[in-house]
Amino acid sequence: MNPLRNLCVLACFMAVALATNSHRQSNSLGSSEDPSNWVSTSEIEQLPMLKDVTLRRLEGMTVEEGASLLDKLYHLAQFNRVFKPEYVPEPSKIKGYIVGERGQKIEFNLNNFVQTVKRQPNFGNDEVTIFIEGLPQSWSQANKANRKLIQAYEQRYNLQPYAGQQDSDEQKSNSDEQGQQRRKQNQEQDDNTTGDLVVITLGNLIEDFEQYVTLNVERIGEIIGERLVQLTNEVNVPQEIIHLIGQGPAAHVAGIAGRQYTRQTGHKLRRITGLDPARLYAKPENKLSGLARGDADFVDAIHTSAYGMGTQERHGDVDFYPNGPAAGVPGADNVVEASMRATRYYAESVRPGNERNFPAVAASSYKEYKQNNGYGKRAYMGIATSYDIRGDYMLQVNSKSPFGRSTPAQPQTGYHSYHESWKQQQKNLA
Amino acid sequence: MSLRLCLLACLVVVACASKDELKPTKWLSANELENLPSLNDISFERLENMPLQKGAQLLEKIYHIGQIENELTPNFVPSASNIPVRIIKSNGDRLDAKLNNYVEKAFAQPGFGEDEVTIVLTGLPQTTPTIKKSMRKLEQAYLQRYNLQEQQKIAQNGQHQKNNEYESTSSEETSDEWKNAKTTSGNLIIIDVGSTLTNFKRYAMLDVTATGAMVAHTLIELTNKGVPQEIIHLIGQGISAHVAGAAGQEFTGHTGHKLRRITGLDPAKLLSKRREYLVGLSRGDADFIDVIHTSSLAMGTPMRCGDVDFYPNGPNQGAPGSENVIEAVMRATRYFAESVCPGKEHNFPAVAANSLKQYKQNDGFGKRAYMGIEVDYDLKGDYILEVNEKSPFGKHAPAQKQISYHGQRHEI
Repeated sequence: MNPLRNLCVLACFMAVALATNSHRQSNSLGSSEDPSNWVSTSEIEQLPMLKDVTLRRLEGMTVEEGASLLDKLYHLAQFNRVFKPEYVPEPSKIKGYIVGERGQKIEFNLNNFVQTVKRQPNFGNDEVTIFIEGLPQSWSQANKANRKLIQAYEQRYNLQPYAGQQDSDEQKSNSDEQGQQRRKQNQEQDDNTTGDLVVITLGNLIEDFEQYVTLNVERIGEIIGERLVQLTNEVNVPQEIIHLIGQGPAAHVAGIAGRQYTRQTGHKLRRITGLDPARLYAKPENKLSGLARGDADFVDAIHTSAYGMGTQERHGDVDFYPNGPAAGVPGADNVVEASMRATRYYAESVRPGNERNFPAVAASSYKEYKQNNGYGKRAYMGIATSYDIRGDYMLQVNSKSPFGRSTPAQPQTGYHSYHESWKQQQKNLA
Repeated sequence: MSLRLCLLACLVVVACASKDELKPTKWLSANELENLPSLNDISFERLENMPLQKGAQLLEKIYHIGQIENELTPNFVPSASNIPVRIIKSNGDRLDAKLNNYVEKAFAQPGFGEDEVTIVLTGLPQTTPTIKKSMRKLEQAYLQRYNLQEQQKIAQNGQHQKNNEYESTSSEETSDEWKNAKTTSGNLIIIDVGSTLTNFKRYAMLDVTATGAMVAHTLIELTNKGVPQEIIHLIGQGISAHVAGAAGQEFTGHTGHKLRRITGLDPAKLLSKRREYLVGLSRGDADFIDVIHTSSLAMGTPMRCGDVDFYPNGPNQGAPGSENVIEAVMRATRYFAESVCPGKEHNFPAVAANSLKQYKQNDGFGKRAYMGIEVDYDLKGDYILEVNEKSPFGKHAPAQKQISYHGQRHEI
């Protein structure tokens, strides 16, 4: 027998064993204190290169798999400061549109934004909602979620008659929802809410994961903040009617825009909402970044992929965690879809009559919420969140639209008296 | 022939490996991973003896690797009969108790609960000189604050009282500001959670939620016995900042009321967590939460934990003058203590900003804020300030003089 050959065979076996050993062994008593038991070299080796992590790939993984991958990529990259916020798209390339009175799109880019607004009659008379998209429209789930939000605002602001531009395959599932909204609207007193909706399609410039993680949210946020200052100074749009909504990484862009606005004017924007604020992989050095309380008078965040695309970290005066902090939410098949759910839930709440679809209770976990151990006031997640709420809130959601459950886990007779119309709505849906 | 193939294979591997810096194996090599100490091998003494940067890098690695897949679940809960409590009486005497009996003993003291009740939760064991000194400074400061009326009377009578219990440092004691400072009386209670963290592993595995719940129940006892919750100021140091937050939550859960104020002195990075549970000091745990971060990139966390978060010198591995990660944690206690000394409440003016650079370029915005005991409860956001490397730490005046905000300037 050739000893060299034996050695080779042994080596081969070992290589195979090591390669397939992707399970950490925390079996012996003392091993949980040993960092080399928290992650194995082979796990690290099996991690894909950044350019191989695509939205498509994350779409193809289960929620748990996607979360696990992102977790590793994030934490392993932090202590070496591997990711730097180097991706700064040019303002002229950051596009968007104002939704006109007939629902038409009036396009702009960040360089001619203010001039475009100036040409709009009656801009800034009521509410101004600026929605910054965080994922590209080319991906269907993002597109659908964004469309839902935009349509909801169009309905709220009476920017188009609704039955309008719907895809036929959605009409069936929506007709019940819309029929009720129509009935609701007719029942209500004159619905005079108007407002302006501006959409910044920042997401379209995020084509791959590398751009996603290295996006320089600071720089983009500063530019948008400066445009908002111009809106106030040149177009007379007061800060108290401005509501910035940022999706994913754009939640942080929105926060920084708010801070930039305050830095230059001394005033705060009224409200900033983060729809599943993304985990910040690349951070500026020695600087505090990301959406935070204080960026506007009131900051709220909805987390639907806390262990996946999003983060568990608190980013607002109030943070909502539908189904508790988790990798995803009911009905979402992958982390990207889960991330988009925040947009879907918020959109649902925007439709007139749905403002209280998402009652939540203060709690530290979903388990606590279900045991009805929640304390404090009830809060409604979505457009109607009360501005004096602070803390962490949990709630239940459905796995399909309509997502809101309207009633919490246990009735809380001390806090809230029931509205008959919601009970009626439940019966209609059943 | 096969040797040449091997060699070729090796070359290919090397070529592939060096092509992409964004390949995860570049971020943490097998060697690095092997060389990381286990939690049993890390000690507070060892951390004190490492230079700041080295200690910070080690802690960041341990933290981030420990977060992957959530291997570390908190499992250490000190028992209430083992947590020492010191009640500091108004004459400087200390009364020893434990968590499970201090409330009774406190009430036996005359005048307890009439004005302020300050409860400090320590976060590190007082086994090293740095930690001992910082706690001593904090106690002394509160004694001065709560005894001030006495001292002012004595000073007015022309006598200068030398008290052997105080170890005065010349620079802090010679100023006369305290003679005219506003006074308050109160009680100081030190709940020495830190002393139960006899090793780093216990520190890492401390169940802040369960420990906080225990503390909360003693606070409920206090309020049931007549101490109004508005006068309770809960201060949590290091990892006990999160214990304080949890105590606040538990208190509210049972009573429906919020504590008035919680102060976090360099809240720690939480190494162990339960999946699907939120943990850690955060806005909403009390009516008002203020936080001082002095080692955001080492033992402390850069995450916002309060309504207002102060970052002396911006987010960094350690505040100026800190030689190691432990000293850096304790700086928050030192700064706060300095602000408690009568007359020094305005020693730490800060400006809303996100980095030291912004602060220096006067690119901050909004009102000036004073870090420390006299912080304004209306504040919200991140605040930056500069501090000195040695005591007295406060710089009194910000980078740019803002005369429009503040009439007087204190002379050092």
